[in-house]
Amino acid sequence: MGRRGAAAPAPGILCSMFSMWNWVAHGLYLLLSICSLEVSGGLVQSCGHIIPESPVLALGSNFTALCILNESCLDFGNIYANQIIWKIKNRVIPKEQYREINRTVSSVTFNDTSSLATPLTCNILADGQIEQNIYGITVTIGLPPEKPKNLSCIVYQVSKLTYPMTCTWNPGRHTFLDTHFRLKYRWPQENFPDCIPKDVNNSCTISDVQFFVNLEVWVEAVNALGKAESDPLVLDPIEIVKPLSPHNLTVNSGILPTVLKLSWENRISAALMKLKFNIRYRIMGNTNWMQVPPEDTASPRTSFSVQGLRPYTEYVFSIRCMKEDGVGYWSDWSEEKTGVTTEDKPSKGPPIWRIIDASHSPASWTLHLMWKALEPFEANGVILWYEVTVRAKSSFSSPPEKYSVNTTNLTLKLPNGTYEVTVIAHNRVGASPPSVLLIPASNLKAPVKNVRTLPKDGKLWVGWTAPNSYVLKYVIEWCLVSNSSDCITEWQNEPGNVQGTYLKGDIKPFKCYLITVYPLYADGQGSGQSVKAYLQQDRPSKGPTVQTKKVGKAEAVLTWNHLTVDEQNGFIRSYTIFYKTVDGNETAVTVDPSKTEYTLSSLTSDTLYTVRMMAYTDEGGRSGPDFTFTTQKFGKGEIEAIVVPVCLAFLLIVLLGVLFCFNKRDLIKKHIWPIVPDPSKSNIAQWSKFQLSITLVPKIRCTQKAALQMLAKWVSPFSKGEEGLCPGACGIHRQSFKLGSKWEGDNIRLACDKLWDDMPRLEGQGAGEGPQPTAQRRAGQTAARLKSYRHEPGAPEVIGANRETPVKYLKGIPATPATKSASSGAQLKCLYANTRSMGNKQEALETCTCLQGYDLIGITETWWDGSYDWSVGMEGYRVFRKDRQGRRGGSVALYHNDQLECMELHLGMDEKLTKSLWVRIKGSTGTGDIIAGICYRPPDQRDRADEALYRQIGAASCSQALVLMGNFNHPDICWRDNTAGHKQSRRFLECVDDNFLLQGSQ
Amino acid sequence: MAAADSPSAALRRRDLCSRGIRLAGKMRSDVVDLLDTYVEWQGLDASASVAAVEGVPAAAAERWDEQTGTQRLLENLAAYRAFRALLAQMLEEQREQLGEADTVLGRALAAVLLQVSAFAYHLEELLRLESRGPPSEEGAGPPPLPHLSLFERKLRGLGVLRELAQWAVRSARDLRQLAKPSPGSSSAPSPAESP
Repeated sequence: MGRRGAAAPAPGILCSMFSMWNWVAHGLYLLLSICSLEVSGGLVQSCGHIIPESPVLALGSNFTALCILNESCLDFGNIYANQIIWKIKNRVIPKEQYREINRTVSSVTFNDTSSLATPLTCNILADGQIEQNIYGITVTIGLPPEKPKNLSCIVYQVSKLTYPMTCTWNPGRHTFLDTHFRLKYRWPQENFPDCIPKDVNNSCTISDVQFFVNLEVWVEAVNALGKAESDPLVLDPIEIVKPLSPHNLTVNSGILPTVLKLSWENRISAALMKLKFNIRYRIMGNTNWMQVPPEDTASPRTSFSVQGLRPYTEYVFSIRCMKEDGVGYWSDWSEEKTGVTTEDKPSKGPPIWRIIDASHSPASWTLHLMWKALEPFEANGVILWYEVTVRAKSSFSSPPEKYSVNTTNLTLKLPNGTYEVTVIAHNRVGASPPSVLLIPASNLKAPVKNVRTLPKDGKLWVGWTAPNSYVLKYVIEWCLVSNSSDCITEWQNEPGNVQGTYLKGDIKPFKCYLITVYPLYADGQGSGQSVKAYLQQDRPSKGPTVQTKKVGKAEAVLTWNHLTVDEQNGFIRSYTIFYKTVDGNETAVTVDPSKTEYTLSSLTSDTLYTVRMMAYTDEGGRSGPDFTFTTQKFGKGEIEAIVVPVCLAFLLIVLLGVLFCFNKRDLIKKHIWPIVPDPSKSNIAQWSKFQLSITLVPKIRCTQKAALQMLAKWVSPFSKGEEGLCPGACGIHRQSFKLGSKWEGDNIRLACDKLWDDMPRLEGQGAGEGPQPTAQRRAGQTAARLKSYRHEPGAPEVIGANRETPVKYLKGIPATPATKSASSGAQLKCLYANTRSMGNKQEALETCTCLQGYDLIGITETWWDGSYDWSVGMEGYRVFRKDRQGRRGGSVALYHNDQLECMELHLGMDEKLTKSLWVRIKGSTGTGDIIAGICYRPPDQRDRADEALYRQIGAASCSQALVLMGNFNHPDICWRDNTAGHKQSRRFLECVDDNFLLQGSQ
Repeated sequence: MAAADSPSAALRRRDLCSRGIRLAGKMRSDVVDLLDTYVEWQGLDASASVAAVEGVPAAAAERWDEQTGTQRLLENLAAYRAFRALLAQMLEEQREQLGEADTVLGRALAAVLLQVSAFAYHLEELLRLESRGPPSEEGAGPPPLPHLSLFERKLRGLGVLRELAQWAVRSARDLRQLAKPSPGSSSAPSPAESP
């Protein structure tokens, strides 16, 4: 008993005296807040204690505890039993449960221990309201053990001499207490040590038992609240033995092909126990066991011959044993052993059938004989070969033909006739009975009637009505009908007394099978009767595709194709056509499944219809794709009825108009063909600075009704002789200059030829002299177009040339007013080059320039950046540059003779998008300015940039004269025909035409 | 024999005889195995001949087929009580000799000892059914052992086991005789145990 002294009113002083064996009880007192020492002779005394100390109580019972105060404390602390407070944990127990027995003893009573908990403490209110703990106990609540029930024992044989006995029982309810179970056993005159369960409470194993003496067994359960014993079990352990199964089982085939002999060893001594046996066996691969009749194996033995087995079959055997008198337990089944019976002759001949192909020749057949391999239980061994005999029934004299075949088919070419075919299967032991098939010359016998099918239990059943004659047997042929594969015939034989059978084969659902039934007679054969069948139907995999064959005002003829067999998935029972207008209701029409055409009538004219078609099987339908058509606005003949009168009316009006014009022709001529001055009598104006020679049209009157177009042409210096090629209306052509320069990357070849020797000549043409060609373009020529600006003074003509890139334009100006006389021609000598880096060509340019004295030099793809500033200068020239920041391509530059007064022109339209540079060259007094442009258009330039460039060209061409040089990368343009292949090139040509530009180089 | 006349007593008697015969058979089988183990463990020659051992009852009996049932039972009981004491002695000696109990030989000896005890119990029960209680065991205790050498003790044990094997055979025959319906008995005839 552990105690801790406590009961003096001096807080904060802890005293401790632990006994060594009851830590739990001491733990309670850690809660004490007040304790004191009353030292008397070195001992510490508590002020009281509780009786009983740490009780174990039955759940639901009543319980009374007493708290007894020490007399010494009464005097010392003036504490009495009426001050005692009982607590469970920290909960105060109601005073009604207290009873003050005398001044030192207080009791507390619980009617039901289930309300108890640990700890139960006795406390006291001392010095007013200070609560002090006097003592505490732990309370353990549980149940007494129940009587163990259902005691049973079994003796497991684990070796030849070891027989442990295991007993199990039901331990009963949980007691909440530490309960010990013991298995007790004894002989009448001898006790044995108890068997104590390990880790469990419901079984125990006695390591060895003795037989033939009754053993009394019972279970004892003990805990703090009591003890219980089971009913005793009296038994002789020999009666509850589960023996080990027989072992070393061997299977030997005997002389007979239907017998196998089993031998085994028993593992239990015959002195101890006589055994009986069960033998089970099954065919290898089959899970169903068969059993040798138990009465055949009801006596001790170590071998047995199993009879009635199939020849040449592998069997699996297993055996078990138990005490002969049936008292005890069966052993487990032994390990499985296999054995094979010996071979026997085949028990029947193979089923035989034929396919006759008479298509090659009317007089002979190709006869495909087929027979089925025998089932293993019929073959009784390995079939080595088949003996086929074909005997012509018509000619008895000829001997039968015999064939030895290893396969299950044979193809023969035979003349038409009646034959008898026999097939015999051979294995190692012998031959089967023959199978006979009579093949008549023609199937004239009565056929079966009313062939029908029925899917049943996942198989396809075929039934028929037998003919009146006696039928030997039936042959059922079937094949899968498919578009994708040929019909591979399968067949089976049925005896003559049946009128229905299941097809034995892999019959697939949703597939169409063609099934044919042939009756075979003793003297002939009936013709086959066929039926199509499905094991299981489904909706079609697709619907029919409908289209119109003919559409009228109120009717439409629809056509469709039948679904293929593979798409049908069942028997097509009907078609349904659904049609509707855009906002109308759908109308359905059911159509017979044999049709492929249908006429929709009562349609609304000039209306869009949507039509689709569904195909239905027994399992449902599926719709094909929608098809739309519009009915005609007019019916047949209606258009003719309208058009013919309209045409007649138009012709009448035209006729009346012509008559009217004829009558008023003088008045019309006066207004439409006014008198126009003769251009051949005009003078050429001369622009002094550029020595532009212009033949002016004298006395041109720019009225609103007459326009002046002037044209200048350059004649290629390479071919003066080509002048004659130009139509006479072009007038005189003068060679201006030729600059040939071919720059191919770093390989430079610069050719500076004679530039020009004359100026262009401009021609004007007055009204009334007929239209003039606006441009003359020939390969190898540089041409220019003059543009007439009404009411504007004339401007000098500017030219440019580049042989490397055939993009160059010359823009002319209209003639000066007639008052101005012609003078010597003005020249603007231009060079254009696409250099692809000026880095190593600067010197060549300077040399060429020095020789030729160009006024303008346009260069594209200079690849200049800030690092070239020192080298771009050229004596006698000023340069405008437009380098591309951070990139090489697309940079352009324009040199001009420093005699010319130039300024850069900003057209203000998407300049960032284009690689172009524009310069205004100031004209001399009285003449307009010239705008020169240099432009590089990359091959992959987008439409947006193209349009920006065209806007710039349009803006620049508003001046009197425009020289545009550059590389536009339109190699598909044919300047001779003024045509182009690509859309972008055509757009460029439009721009050229819109702005009256002329190609100035080859 | 009055008690034997009641059907339940006859059944009980027949059951005791039947199981006694099988216990004797099992005992014989186990003793034969034990003899092999004993010879091997004690290092003896299996063919060694042992003279009659003092205190070991001989299975051989003269005019055996003229004995009465009670006489047979009494002789058997006396023999098996003696064997029980002898085997207990042997087990003790074997423990002392080998210093441990849980050996193959020890376990086999203990098993045979238990069977001898069980057979003695069968005999006592049968005697009670004969309306003659078993004789007291006073005086049937083990004879005082002469001081023997270790080898002599081994040979003595061999003699005990050989004689016990003989007794197992004789006892089975005795019980078969008992199981036969006695002439003039009113008890139902019981099927004869096959030899």
